[in-house]
Amino acid sequence: MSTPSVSTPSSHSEHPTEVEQFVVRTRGLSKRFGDFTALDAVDLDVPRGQVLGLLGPNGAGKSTLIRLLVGATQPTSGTAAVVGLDCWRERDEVHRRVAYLPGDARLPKRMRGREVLSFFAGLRGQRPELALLLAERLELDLGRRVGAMSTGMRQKLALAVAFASRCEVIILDEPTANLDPTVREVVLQLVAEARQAGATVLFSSHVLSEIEQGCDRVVIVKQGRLVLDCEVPDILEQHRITAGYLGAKPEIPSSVEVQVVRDDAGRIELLTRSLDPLLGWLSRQGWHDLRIERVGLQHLYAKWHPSAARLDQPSTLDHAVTHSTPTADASSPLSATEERPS
Amino acid sequence: MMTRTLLLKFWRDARWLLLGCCSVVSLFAMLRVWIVSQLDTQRFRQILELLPTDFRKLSPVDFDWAVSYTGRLSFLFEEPLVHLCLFVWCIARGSDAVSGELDRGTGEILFSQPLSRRRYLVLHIATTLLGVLTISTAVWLGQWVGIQLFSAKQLVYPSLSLGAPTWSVPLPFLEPEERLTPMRELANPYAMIPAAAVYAGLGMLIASVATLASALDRLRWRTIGIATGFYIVQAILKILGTMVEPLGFLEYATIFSLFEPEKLVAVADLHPPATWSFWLDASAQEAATVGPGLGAGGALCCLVVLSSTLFALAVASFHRRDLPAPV
Repeated sequence: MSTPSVSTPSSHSEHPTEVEQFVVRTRGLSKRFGDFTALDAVDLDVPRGQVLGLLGPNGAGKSTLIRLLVGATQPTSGTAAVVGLDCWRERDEVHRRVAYLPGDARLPKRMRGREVLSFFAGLRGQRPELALLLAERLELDLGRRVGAMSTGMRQKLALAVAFASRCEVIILDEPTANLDPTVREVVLQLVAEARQAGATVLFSSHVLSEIEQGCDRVVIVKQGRLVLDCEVPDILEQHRITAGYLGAKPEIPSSVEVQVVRDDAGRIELLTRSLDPLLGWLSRQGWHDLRIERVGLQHLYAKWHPSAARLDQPSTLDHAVTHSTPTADASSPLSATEERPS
Repeated sequence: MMTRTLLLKFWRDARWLLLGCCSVVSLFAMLRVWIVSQLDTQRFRQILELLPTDFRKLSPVDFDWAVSYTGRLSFLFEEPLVHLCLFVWCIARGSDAVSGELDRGTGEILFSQPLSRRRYLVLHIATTLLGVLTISTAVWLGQWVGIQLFSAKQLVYPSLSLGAPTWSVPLPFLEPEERLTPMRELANPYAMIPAAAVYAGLGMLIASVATLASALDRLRWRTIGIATGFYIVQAILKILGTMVEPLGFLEYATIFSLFEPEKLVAVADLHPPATWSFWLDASAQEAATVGPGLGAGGALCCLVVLSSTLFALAVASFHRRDLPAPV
């Protein structure tokens, strides 16, 4: 049997210009709960077919942003639109276009797995065949009641519900929480298939390596604001070079884009957008103790959430990043859109 | 397909509760007919005459009619067990509508499906009301079956025949003999229909209060508390308004003034043309020996209008409210 893949319907064209360009668009989107500002004047554009990663620790405002996009709450100010539809006023239509997987997806406990899939397919006026195939791929026991399933199994069941919906926008709030590494891979594969099928995916996660692996673009959320917005391939191309030199400091050619982060006591630390143009120059210098590392998302994330970054370690294992102070990197030319860290 | 899927879910959620409530009320109604049939009217009258006269104030019907078989059967709709079953159904289903889903955390994924909040709540209310109607019908049916099945023990004095078949004189100085008379000859089950109708109306109102509280709240236990509190306060107001003369005005502030099943049965039994009238006119009051007030039509209208208003408020509130994130 062939592996079931995610399919999405073709895009609609009620608002051809805007919808074609940006599937998700927010302008000055804010949400306050009493005195607490959960989301503060967020402007976000997500083009069709992009996989956007939302990063930030608990309480940063990721889920608030997602819940505003699915029309669960009304913005205090600003607007949020999905496929050109206002997320609050036209939320019924938005729900037809958006599949949403909540962070802690709780399903009716008395239903069996198969009944859950049929129920949610029925609410979309669909047949549950695709959901059943996805469930099989996720190795789910559909005869078991939800109440008797483990947290991971329930999460997998909810994933099958979300990915079987064939929506053009898929919003996943920490989809891999509670999942074992094998299934995490399957989830990332499903995200990739959804993108190939033309879907736009918003993906929040605490696991930086997942964002690096599965997303085209990442935004970092801090205290309700989007503090960083950049393309993932750009981040992955960035490298940190640390080396010691004897005598005079080697002159850096002006033709390469490089930032000197530190230069003292015969050691230099450089950040570069791309390593290739530097390789020739590096090989010609008389370095000692030369070290070249990929910067990765961890470095950027640590600038904004130093304590959280130390807690959410998965991606640091393969990157060996040295934490630098935010002020040292604040003027980095390597990030696309960045606010100054406070 | 969406409506069918949702209705199927509601049915699955509620079927055992509904089945339980219907079984209990219908069996109890049958059993109660049997109990009534075991006690002769004359003996029952003797027992009630021993009660303090203040007790009679609680009855909206004349005591002479109240001790008749039909009268005694009409009190079925005031039985605590019958109220409890209706109450449990209405509170359980009403509170489940929104705050139940939010409290369980299932609302987060359910309310993000392509299903309008209005449609969801209207369908939920429809199933709750269908359950209310089913329970009311079960009460009436249980009583009807009991009336068809059982016979009453009556004490009949021997009589002296005076020639013609209908001419006879009872001889009370002789030992009375027990005679079994079918209940269907002594009680009119169809006179109970208005009582069953206002019983359903009361259920509708309780369900609407629970649904409104649920639509505004996020915690199911709190919704249940609010709806139960409402019921208890209304019952206390009714008792105070009836028993304490200076507080008589309280009767206008309680929904239980709209729920007087015995009075409606008395009217249906003694003055059938006024069975579904809005207001009891003088002839109906005289014939049924009841005080002024709303007839079955009027009570039902008030209950339906009140509860429809609360249901509409619930739908509007749910449509506009923020859904809290699961805790």
